Amino acid sequence: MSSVHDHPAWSGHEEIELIFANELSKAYTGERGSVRVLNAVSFEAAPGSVFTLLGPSGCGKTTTLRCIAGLEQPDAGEIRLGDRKVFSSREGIQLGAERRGLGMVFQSYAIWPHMTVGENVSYPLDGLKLGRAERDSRVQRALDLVGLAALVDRPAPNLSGGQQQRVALARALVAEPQILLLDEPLSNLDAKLRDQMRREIKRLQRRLGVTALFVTHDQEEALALSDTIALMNNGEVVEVGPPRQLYDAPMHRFTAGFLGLANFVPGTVVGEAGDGVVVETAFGRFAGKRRSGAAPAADLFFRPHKASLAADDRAGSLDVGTGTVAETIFLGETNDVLVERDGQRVRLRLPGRLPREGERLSFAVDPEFSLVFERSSAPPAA
Amino acid sequence: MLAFAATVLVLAYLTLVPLALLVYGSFIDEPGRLPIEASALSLQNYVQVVTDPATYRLLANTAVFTIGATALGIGLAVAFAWLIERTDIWGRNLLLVGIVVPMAIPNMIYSSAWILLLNPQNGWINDLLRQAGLGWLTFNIYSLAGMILVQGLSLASHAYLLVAAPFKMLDPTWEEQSAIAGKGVAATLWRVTLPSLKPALLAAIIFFTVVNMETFDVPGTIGIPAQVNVFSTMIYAATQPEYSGLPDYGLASTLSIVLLLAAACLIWVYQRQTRHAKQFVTVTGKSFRPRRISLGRYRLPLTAIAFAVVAAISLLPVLMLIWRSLMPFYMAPSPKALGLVSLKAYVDLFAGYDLGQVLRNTALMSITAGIATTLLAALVAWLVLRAPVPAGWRSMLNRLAFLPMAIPSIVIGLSFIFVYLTLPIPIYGTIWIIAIAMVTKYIAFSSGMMMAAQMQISPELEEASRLAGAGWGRTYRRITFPLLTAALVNCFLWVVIHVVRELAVAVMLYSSRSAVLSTKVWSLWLGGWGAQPSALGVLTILALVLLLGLPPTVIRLRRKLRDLREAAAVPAEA
Repeated sequence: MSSVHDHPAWSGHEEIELIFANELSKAYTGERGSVRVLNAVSFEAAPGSVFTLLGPSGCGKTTTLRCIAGLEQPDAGEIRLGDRKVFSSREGIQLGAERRGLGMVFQSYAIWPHMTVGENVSYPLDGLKLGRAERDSRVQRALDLVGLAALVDRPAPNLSGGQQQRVALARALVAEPQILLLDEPLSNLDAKLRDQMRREIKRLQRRLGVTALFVTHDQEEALALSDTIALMNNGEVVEVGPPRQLYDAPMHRFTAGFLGLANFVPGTVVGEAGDGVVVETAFGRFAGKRRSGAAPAADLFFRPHKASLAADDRAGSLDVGTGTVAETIFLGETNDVLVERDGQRVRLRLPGRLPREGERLSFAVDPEFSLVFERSSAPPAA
Repeated sequence: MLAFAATVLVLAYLTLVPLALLVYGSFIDEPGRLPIEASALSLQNYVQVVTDPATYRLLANTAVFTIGATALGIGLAVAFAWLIERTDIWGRNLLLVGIVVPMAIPNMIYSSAWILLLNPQNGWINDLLRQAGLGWLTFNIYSLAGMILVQGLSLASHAYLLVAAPFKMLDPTWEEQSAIAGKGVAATLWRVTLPSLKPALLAAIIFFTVVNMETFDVPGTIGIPAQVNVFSTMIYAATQPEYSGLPDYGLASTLSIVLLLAAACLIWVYQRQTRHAKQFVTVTGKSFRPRRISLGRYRLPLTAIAFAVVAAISLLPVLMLIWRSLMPFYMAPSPKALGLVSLKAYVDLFAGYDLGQVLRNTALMSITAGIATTLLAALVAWLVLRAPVPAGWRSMLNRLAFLPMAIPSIVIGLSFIFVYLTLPIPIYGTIWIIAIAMVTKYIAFSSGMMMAAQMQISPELEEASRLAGAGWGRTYRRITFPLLTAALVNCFLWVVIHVVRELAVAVMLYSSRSAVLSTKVWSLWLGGWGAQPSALGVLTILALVLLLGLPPTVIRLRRKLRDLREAAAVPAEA
């Protein structure tokens, strides 16, 4: 089995293509009226980057991907791949999926069971009118990339989940597309294999320099793989940015709540401190950066692992809260601690000593990572 | 899409055109003339049908026959499905084979075998009863009750296949829960098992009511000599000069429309019922070990009864048919008569008759109809489920393909006479008109079969091909079609088996040069049930048994081939 490292990248790429989607809208008309699935979705995936559509199920991320692929047609908007316009409602352009020159890995892998591994991988070369030698060498090269060269004659049904995934990847890459679409490609693998494939996909993408559009509902996967994440909800793009920015400094409340664990503590804005505001909560006063709105009713947001144990004498400082330990769970690397006061609860991730339930506890929150959002009608996350 | 429009046109040609001519024909009251030759339209046929008391006798006969045969057939099927699938009765596999054997016996041949057993003059069972001094127990098959008996018994095997699946899938914990609650076997069957299967059973009942209402074989074989007419035999008789002087196509059309409307109503209820049935959760994806109800002290007597019934349904008629085919003239089975056994009838069949042509016709007609129906059904299935056209169009296509379900065979036959004596397509009197009529007859069932198969193919398999640069055509040819192979073969064999069995369509459309097996047996039978039609019946059954045995063989073969391929692939891995 040859390693991916000693393999040359694709030849003949003059310029890697970007993916550009502008104001994509789509509604399904069913028996009970029409449902909007995409509402003016716009984004641009930079050439050679991994661009991820992330969101809860039903948020429109898969529909968006399928529109880019040409498997579905938006009602309105425009899609460009590089300088090719492949869809435009205004100009009446709709290029079929088979003419977009994309590679795609499906959620179910969609390995054709009546073919061998080699037949599966060589299929996309059928339309290219290649000589037999060139064809075989391309198939070989694609299978080498995913480390499955030895299985070229294996019937497709006799593959494990991980092998099917690699075949799907080889098949998507064999025609040397500049754009690779990945629809939840890791969701059918077990945890260990998922971790391995995640690294492998990222390495391959870097080596080949293709632009990858990746769809997932798994935030951890998105954070690990992406150069840029577009977070989607209810058919709209909520926020676009690099993983770190979305995780640490989200602009939107939905982003803060969707990515990772989050505390939203109800409070009131009582003043200003530096470039932020001070919020009064049941646990104490905290400073944080203000995100939106000017109303005094606000929610303090911070992540459980951005809190630490504080010495008692620091109570009253602008980053320290106090409460009673309500529940503790030992997690190994850290402890999950629920602290309660006046009917409000916050979750903290505190390594080290496991606090006793009923114990009084002071905690400090890193003001760098405290944000203040406008109060929402939704109940705060525990 | 071009393929979509073409398919709609083909289906419309196969169903709507014949129906339109049938409706037109019903307004013509000029016996001896075809609709196309008529000079004036009239409501006379409808007046006659409504005012003639014979119509109401016909209705009553049809209703009693239909209800009686459905009750007997479904009752037997349910009893056997429960015994075989849910209890620890002995010899389950043998019982299963026994119950499905009549599938391979065309109903006309099946009724003939029962005539040999139960006719009032020298029916073997009646003879035995008289010899035993039980003359009062003899049964005259030439009666409505006789028709119900034969149709019900033959229906049991078809119905078994339909009702056994839900019995098999039923979650056994439901029955166990009832047992824990202190209910006995009978109470559990009555209070839990049957009610939870109600949607499936109701669908089967409605479906077979339609089948019985339109069937021609049994009423044609037993009812016509007994002068007990139902709609299908009446429509047939109206077109045959030997029964009615001049063929009265107008009256036949009007009767057809009455029958068609009744069938359409039931099919509508059936569709509603089956759509509704999906909402009942009887079949879960959850796997469970099949657990069987212990019959306890009833195990032995129930086994004995079940085997006796299966012997009566399957073994007895077939043995009688074989016996008759070996006798130069009728002799009751006895050791003494064994000396008369001869294969003369079989030899004569091949020597004296035009059997070669009949077999060629049958093969050509059934294979053509099988291929055409299967391919059209596969196309319909793909278009209904996957075509990139608005959902409303696809459901319209679905309804159009389902429509023939409501058209009785005898009505298809009649309307095809009209079509091909009207249109300038010179196939009347050839096997091709029969083949096309068979496509109409079986397109609804086969489309359903192919849709089930198409649904098994994940859309992503087709989409992956499109992303790989293949258009719709290449995707269908390289991906969809190969993946449908097993379903296509099954569907083809299913159609061929049914086409060979089908009498009503062929009997309306055959001529001396386009005779097929079913019509050959029929015309031999018209000349009296002797050794030769028995022999031809035995040969037909043999051929159908072989065809029925094919699909499992094909599946086994495919599995073997795959294993071989796997074995060959192993060294490459090392």
